[in-house]
Amino acid sequence: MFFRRSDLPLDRDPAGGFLPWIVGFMVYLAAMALAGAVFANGLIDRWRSDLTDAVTVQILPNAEGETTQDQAARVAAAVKFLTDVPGITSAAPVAHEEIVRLLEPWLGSGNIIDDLPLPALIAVHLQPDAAFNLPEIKRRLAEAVPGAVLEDHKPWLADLARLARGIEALTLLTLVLVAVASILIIVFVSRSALAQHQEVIQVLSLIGARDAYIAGQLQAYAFRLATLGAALGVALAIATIFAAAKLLGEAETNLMPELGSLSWRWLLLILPIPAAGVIAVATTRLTVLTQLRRTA
Amino acid sequence: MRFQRVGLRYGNGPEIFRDLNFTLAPGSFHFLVGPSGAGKSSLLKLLYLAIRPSAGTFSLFGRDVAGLDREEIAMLRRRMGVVFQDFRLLDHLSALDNVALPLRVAGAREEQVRSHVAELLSWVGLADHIHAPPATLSGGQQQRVAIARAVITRPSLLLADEPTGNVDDAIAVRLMYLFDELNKIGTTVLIATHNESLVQRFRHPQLRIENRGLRLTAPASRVTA
Repeated sequence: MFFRRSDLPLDRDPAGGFLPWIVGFMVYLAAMALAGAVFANGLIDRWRSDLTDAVTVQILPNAEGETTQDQAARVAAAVKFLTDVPGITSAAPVAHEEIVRLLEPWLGSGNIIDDLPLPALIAVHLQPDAAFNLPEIKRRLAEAVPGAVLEDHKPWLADLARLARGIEALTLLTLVLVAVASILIIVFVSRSALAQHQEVIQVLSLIGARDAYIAGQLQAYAFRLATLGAALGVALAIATIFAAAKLLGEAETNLMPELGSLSWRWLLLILPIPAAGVIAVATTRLTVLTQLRRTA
Repeated sequence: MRFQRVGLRYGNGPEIFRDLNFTLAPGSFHFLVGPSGAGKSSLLKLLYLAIRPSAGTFSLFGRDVAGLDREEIAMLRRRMGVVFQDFRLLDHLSALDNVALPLRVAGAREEQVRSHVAELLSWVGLADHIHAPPATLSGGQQQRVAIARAVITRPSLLLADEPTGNVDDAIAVRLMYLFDELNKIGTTVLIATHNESLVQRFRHPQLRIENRGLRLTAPASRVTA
């Protein structure tokens, strides 16, 4: 379809000259939206895998001047209680240094943390698919160990799922808007080409060209321009994503999901190229056939 | 081809034809003559289905054209060759590609297209101009390209509007022999012309447009008017 011989001098169309650029920008937007969705979903997946089948127990500091040893005794009691519960595979206290590290982004690394009464944390892993009555365990734990609070992650997971669905909906909306805008511009270019080459099309028609033959010529032209534009847009998007990944990497955040583990998702970024081709061909065909019937 | 009480007018303009009744038998050869502005080109336009009659019925290759859809019209046009008065060559294509159009539109194989077209262009004296765009050709050469395009598919019906208007007499006679040859292999030919010497020399029946009607002015061996 790329190198099909054309009976129409379409390459001289001024409107056609803009098509690859406009499609390129549209595809760039679509690819960035897809990349954003892939990135966000990757992040959410990672958080979800960290949170699923796990709960956290906080041992709140006692306000009456409890010593570190007393708090450690409560932690040990809570760990013992938890490990006795069937279905709990592990219950391990989180090191004080790890708690300090987790709080550092909010409280800084100064002496403030040392002066604050921090809760002790116990990371608890549950046997996958085991049935738990978490409210009951929570109640019994609070009775057995004063100040022990079991934090269920389910509300968090539900929030994450909502967030993921929201991101997917936004991405879909962006893709639909980009597709509609592309369709409109292709309709405009097709109509413009038909008007500009009216005489040539009339000659083709008079020597026996079917409407589908004439449409085929314009389809090949639109396909070529749209896929070229889409390839440019995708290339630009990939360059932007790698630049962003590099910047995020240099910022040493741990927010960035590993690109390697998500590689199949990044293949989605190539999708706009065939999609642009299909949209261009279908839109042009429909526009040309409709217009030719109207002018008959 | 059969016209029954065919009338034609453009919009609310004056009547061009009224009650045209005639039949062209398959394989016949006619000249279409008449003064300038009488309607020769309009009659040809009716025949190649560029316009529809405003009254009466008209059938082509045994089919009433009134109910044809665009697909069927395209198929009927493939059985015709038309030489337009203004040639209607495509300026961005070479002579070869212009002549090849009807074959390509009909889906012919490319190797067949090139050999047939080159042969025909040689026959009409344009062997050295195969790759020339029409704008670089003289009026007479363009006319020969237009004729070659009209006959390349060996059509069942050939319609030509002043096909010898821009060529010298020797070429005109040569082109007329080409039309005669096509006619001998079964093509129905209708040629609109002002060239009285050709009409006299080739002694085919004449359809003369007069007073918004048609009159047969030569022996009607294969035509009834």
